[in-house]
Amino acid sequence: MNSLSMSGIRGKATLLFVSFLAFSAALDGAEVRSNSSGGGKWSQTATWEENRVPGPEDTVVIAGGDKVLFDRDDSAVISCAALQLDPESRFEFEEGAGKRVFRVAGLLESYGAVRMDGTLSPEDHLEIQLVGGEEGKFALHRGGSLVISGHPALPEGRKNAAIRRTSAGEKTTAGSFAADSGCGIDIKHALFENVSAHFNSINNTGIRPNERLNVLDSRFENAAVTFTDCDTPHFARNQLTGEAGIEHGVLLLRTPMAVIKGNKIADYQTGIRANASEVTLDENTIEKVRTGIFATGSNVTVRGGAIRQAQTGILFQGIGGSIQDGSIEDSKTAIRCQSSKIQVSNMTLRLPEGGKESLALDVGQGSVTVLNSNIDPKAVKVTKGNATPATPPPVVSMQYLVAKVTGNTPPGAVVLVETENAAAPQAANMADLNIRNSPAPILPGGLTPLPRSMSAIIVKSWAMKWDGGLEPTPEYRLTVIVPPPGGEGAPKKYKSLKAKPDDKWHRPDLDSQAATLEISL
Amino acid sequence: MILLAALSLPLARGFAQRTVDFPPAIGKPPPAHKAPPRTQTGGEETSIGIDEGVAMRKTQQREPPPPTNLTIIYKVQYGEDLKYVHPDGTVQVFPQWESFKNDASSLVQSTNTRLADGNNYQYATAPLSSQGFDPLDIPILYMTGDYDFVLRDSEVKNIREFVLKGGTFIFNAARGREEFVRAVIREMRKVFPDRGFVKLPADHPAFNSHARISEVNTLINGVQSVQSPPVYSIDIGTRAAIMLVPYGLGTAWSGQEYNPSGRHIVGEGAVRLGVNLVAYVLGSTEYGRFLAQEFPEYEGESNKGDVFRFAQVRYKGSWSLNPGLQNSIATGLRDNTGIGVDYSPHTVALNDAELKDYPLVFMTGHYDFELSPEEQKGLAEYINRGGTIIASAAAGLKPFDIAFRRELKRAFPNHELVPIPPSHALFMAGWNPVQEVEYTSPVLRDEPDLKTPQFFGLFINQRLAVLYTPYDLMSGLNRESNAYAKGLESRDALRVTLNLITYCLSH
Repeated sequence: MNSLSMSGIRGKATLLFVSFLAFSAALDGAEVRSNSSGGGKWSQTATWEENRVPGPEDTVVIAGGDKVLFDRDDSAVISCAALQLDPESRFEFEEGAGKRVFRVAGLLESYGAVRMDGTLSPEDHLEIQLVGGEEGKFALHRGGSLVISGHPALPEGRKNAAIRRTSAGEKTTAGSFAADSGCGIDIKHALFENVSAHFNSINNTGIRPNERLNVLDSRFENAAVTFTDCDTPHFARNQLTGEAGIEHGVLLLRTPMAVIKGNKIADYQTGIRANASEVTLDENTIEKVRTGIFATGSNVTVRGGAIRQAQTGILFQGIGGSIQDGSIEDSKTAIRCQSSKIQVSNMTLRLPEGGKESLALDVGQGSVTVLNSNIDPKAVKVTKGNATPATPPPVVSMQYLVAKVTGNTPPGAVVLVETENAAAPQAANMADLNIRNSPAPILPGGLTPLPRSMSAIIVKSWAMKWDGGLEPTPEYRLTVIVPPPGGEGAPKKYKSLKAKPDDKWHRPDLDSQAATLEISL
Repeated sequence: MILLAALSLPLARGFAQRTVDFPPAIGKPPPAHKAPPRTQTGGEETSIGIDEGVAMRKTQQREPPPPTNLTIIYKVQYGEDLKYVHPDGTVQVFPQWESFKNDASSLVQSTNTRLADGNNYQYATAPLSSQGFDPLDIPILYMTGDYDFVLRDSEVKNIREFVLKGGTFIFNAARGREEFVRAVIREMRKVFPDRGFVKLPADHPAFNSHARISEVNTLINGVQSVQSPPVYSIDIGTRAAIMLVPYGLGTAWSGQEYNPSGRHIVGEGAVRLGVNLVAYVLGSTEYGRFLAQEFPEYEGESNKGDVFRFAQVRYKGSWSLNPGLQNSIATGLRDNTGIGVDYSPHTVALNDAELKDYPLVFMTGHYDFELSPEEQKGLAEYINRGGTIIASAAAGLKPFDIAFRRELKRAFPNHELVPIPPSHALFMAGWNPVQEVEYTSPVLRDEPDLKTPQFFGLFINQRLAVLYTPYDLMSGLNRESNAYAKGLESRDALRVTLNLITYCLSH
């Protein structure tokens, strides 16, 4: 046999071997593409280019323009090795058909639309499972969208639309869902279990077409939610339950105007970490955390809600902002202010019983204006740092003053409040910063405006100095006057009384008609 | 007497300087200082010259053309010079109109950066009393201040003409002072005695014309808060034509310290709101021009006899938003179905005896309204006797939607508005089946997949008596070029309406 014939045999053998490899690839896993003529149901062979339904070893590609409807319950099997959605493609779940579980062993990557709609029937259960391997990833890229609508009225918080990370092995590692700039996210009544969500550079202001970021009424178990460089995301009424090892429930990084509202967060190191500007953290309930809210950014508003059982309830570091209308309970330090300028208004603080080292307020190189909050100066700690005697006091407490005028009130009468025995005489036209909203009108019923009106009289109460001592509480003179017509001349004075703010002036209910003081004419 | 009163203020302005008790936005003038002595001798060579750069050859590649300069805002000059005595005795005299020196320039800069639409928007200043403000040229007049003011007659006339020609007036209480707000409300009654300011609802396009804004941070007398953006408007059609922001925006726009005795919208929210207001005006100029047209009026019955005749419901609210609407409907019906029509516009109140003369009435509006007990009764009687109402929320705004559902429930407490499926004969039967419809871009922005008619029906004795859509049907029908109307596109608005009318006539 000459060398030429030998090479011919070798060539045939090689060809056979390559053919065998190709054949085994078809059996052991290959790329299966949708039919590029509209798609169809997952379980139908006509949906696929190869005229066969994808198997567990296959990498599935849904071609642009195709819509593939997932119509199987693969709870016990793997649906495919990986799934890729091309731009303009759709992957949806069959509705009204009971349990539909899609299990992907590897990466789920989408430039198209993934849609799970469980609103039709409470009997439906739609689920994506990220299974096996070290990683369970669902990545959504520019042009892609994820729309999950679970049934809104299921008992006991049950969700019938879920993304879940499971593992064939002994230990389940965390899975992740990540969405990039240019994606549309609308998630309602969904469950994310062991799958943390990362939203990157998504703009929810409506400026960029097809970009949305709304996550509502959903549950995250052993999962964190991170927003990075997003704008105005809306994250509301969600429930997040973590494990001690998970750093944060919600993390906001350079994400302005975020609306984080009505969420329940428990068992994280930090409930909400906000490193962003003009963020509103509204009506959130945070429990069993090391730090409830940790804010670094600017103009962060914490409004309403409750923080319970935290080492530190709220920590503001290096920012300006406000904390209002909420409660902090059973937390070792309720509010910590580090190099920040904040306002604490209408807060109810309840320190742990018997906790001698507990603090309502811990201020280090910042300043806090306290308005109508039950903070006992004995539970306030200030750290002097670089402060000089000229530095304004670190803590100033203000109280609402609602006066009730009884008797024969003359028309046009108002209540004027002045600091009694002010340390320095008040120059003409200089505002007395001890007092706001004076003179105040006398409304029908004889009361001056209530706090909700935003025009109630406010007066300075105690102030803490940098050495921890208290400045004397000012005394005020309230006078019922009738201003002169046209503003010229002296006002007509009726009756006046003196008063000094104390703890009893605290108003737990801002809408209460109760008067702080009564002036009888 | 009136003339005397009108003259007295300008006279007073001329001769007596008003002293105010609130410090001006522009700070106290710095103390005068002596100029440094000149060290240069006369005629000395300074070698200071203008660097003209490297000359460009004709063949050299040039930069792309710069953006088009467009002046879109006049910051208007009004009022008088005011006097303020600082606590240290320094007297400062300042022009009332100016408030912040760089508020308008900061606003246009932010607009340029954020809209980035290839234009370089600019602002200018002009006396409000000057003649010839033309919205085609400059669509926004911006007026700001802290103090009371009274407009001259020429200023009142200018504002009225400008706004009716399609222009938009934006008032901002520079630092949220009540006295400026009160003056705006009082003076605008002179401009439009029959219209008042209404707070813009949360879904108003001014809050999403560029970025969606649901809440803004505020600082009121030193107390921080978060609230829905406070913007009030006097509307023409559904266009916010005179807008009033009673909380200060200027401090945030010009990056200054917030006055603790003021009411401010602070930080990014103020900037976004300002850009949104400008974007809203730019997007509604065409609609403003549409509304400024003269529309045909027919007197009496244009076509007597047994022809299709309908009316528009008149009520205490914004019922008349679509000028020439009835002509559009009648023409569309006549041209497409051959049905004889009466072109003359009819309006009818729900408690009018003539209501029964119309088998079909149209109703629209964009804000909250309440029917009187007589109107409630008239509505119930009309429907029970076989009348039909077709209603839609103008611009797709929520306040009308809420009010219409509420008032209908009061008239028919035992009946519900139910969704009408797209497969209903209303849409699918007859010569003009409407399977899919096209919505305007403001709808698609929130609901990109919406393609079917969204109608609700109230059935009385199995008869479809009320047909209602929370989307705008009328502006499409009227081809209003309203960029912010959440509704059906013009062609589909007509197709759907023809179906509704022919269905109602045949059932």
